[in-house]
Amino acid sequence: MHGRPRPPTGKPEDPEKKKASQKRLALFSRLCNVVLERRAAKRYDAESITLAAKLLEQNPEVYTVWNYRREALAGTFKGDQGPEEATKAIQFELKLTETALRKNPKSYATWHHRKWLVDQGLVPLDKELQLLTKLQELDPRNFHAWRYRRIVTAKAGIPPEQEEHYTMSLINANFSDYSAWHARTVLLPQIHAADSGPLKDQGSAQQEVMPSSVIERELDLVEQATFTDPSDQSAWIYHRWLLSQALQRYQEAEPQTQSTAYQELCDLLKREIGRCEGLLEAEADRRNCKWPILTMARLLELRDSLHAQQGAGDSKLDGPGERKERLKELYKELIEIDPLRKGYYQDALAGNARVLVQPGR
Amino acid sequence: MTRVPESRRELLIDKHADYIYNYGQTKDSFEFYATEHFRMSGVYWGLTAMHLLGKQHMMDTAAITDWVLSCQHANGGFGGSERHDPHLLYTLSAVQILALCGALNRINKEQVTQYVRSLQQPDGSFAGDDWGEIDTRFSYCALSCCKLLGQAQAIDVKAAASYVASCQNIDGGFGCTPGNESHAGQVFTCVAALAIADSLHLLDKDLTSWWLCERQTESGGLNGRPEKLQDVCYSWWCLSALSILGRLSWIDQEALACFILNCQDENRGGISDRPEDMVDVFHTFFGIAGLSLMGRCNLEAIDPVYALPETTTRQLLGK
Repeated sequence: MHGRPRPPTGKPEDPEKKKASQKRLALFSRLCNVVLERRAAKRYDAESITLAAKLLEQNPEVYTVWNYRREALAGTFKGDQGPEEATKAIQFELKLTETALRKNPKSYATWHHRKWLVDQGLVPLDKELQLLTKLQELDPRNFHAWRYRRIVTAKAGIPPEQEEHYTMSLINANFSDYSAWHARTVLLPQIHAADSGPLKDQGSAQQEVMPSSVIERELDLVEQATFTDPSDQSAWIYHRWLLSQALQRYQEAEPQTQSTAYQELCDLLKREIGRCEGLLEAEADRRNCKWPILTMARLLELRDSLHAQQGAGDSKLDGPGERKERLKELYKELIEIDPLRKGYYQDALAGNARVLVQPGR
Repeated sequence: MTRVPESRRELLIDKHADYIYNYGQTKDSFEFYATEHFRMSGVYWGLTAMHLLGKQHMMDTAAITDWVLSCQHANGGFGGSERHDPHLLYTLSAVQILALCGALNRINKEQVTQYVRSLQQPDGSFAGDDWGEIDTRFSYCALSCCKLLGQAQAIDVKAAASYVASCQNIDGGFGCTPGNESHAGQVFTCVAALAIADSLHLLDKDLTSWWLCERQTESGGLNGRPEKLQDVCYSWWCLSALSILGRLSWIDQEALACFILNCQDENRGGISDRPEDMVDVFHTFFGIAGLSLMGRCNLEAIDPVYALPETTTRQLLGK
């Protein structure tokens, strides 16, 4: 049972409580039996589906009973009993699913029923978004709500810029809202891709690369977040993505712009290394510095391999031996302050764990 | 890392076996009714846990087999229990149970596969049932089910794999549909689905494994998403995926084993999500499965892809 404390042992159950729970069991089992019997008999009368609603209010995950309601209501929604009845029925279902979601905000079956209602084309989508925004205030990390939000915004033709503003407001309220950072990784490439249009309910796997101005703006945002709390992983995971975007820009550059792209990437790496150094200087306790140290290690690795690939020996930089030594020290320190992931750090140092995409890969 | 009290340092095998056995016997509880719609999965969790504990002889496999068969519908799919509609989630659980009971010959394999096939969409994804909910969990159910039945050719495996791959996010994890946030449970279903489809090359192994190893918290336990609390069930979701990707060494296994052991209820048996919470069969199974995957406590080995004892998958798939 998620998050429910164990009852104490060795104490006889309170007879009052026992009586109450027996009564609860009797009522609930009777309700289950009646509803499932009527469902089996395909009884779609008003009383039967009201009982079904009662059961769902108490136990929103009983998918069969949502199926039952959909079967019973399909005709009404098609307008068999006139448009007024259809509207009334939709209002009832919206209220029922809202009650069920307040009881169990992670009920797959209830969210799916709500989506089915939207698919019927009778739900005002603006109100739907308002309600969602309210529900998401209660739990900004609810991935069911986020998923549903993507469906509704796509259906309503909401421009991705508007959703991007929403994620920004969430991040400003709480830098640790990973769900909002994630949403940006989907929205920003959509906004800044060459063929941007209205919101698509689709993924981020095949990503367009963003313009450098956007990458830089986002890196500034990460700097703010990591300066506020250098040990929160949300912004750092986002940072890794921005670096991979910057790298991808360089890799996809046309031959005639390659040298500019190379310089751009070198400048970006230099600035980010400087930022990590700044964070490390500002934080006295190295135990809080896992993320800037790890990021620093990856930035240095990337810079080194970039230089190696370009065959560009920068005489101002350390020699290969010294660079290797510096990396070794960073990973050694990571193993000390974050021993849980020792195995990963060892593989990373040995070059067997390439988490930041390598140039030319 | 938390210190584990003396009474919880060993895996309390007999207590857990009794707890699981009794769970199947108690029919007059609120929970019995409240969990009726997913009992098929409950039985699968319990029975698999018993196998891993080496206590399967305590279970009445003939009665279980009959009950599973009584939950099959005319379209070939299985419901969560006798009175519930067919669904891919419970069809997989039913097939897994029958595999454990050596009773796959009691069903018409083509009929079950036909049901699974009917749920595949043009984009390769799978609906959970006729009501059309799409989720990568169902892709896993479909692939696992067909493979266990020796009928993988019945579905479009390539399309299924490419849909799953399209759900990978920039952090290396996977969501329920494209664009949705990564979640460790979903990562297991997607990585295992790609493994069954022989398509692990479609994912970035290092990135996925790094995201997974970042799920381990100071407690030694694993969480399901960044900045969330640890929970025993992720001992399975994260660990199985890491195991499939060959990166189990990226987490501290000793710390995780201690966390799981500390979630045992030494009085009543069973394992909970976190120490001192109420136990249930779901977490009891995932805790034991996690320990098995790490080769601890003399448990039967579990197959990270199919979530069944290796002896069962070896027999069925010749692995």
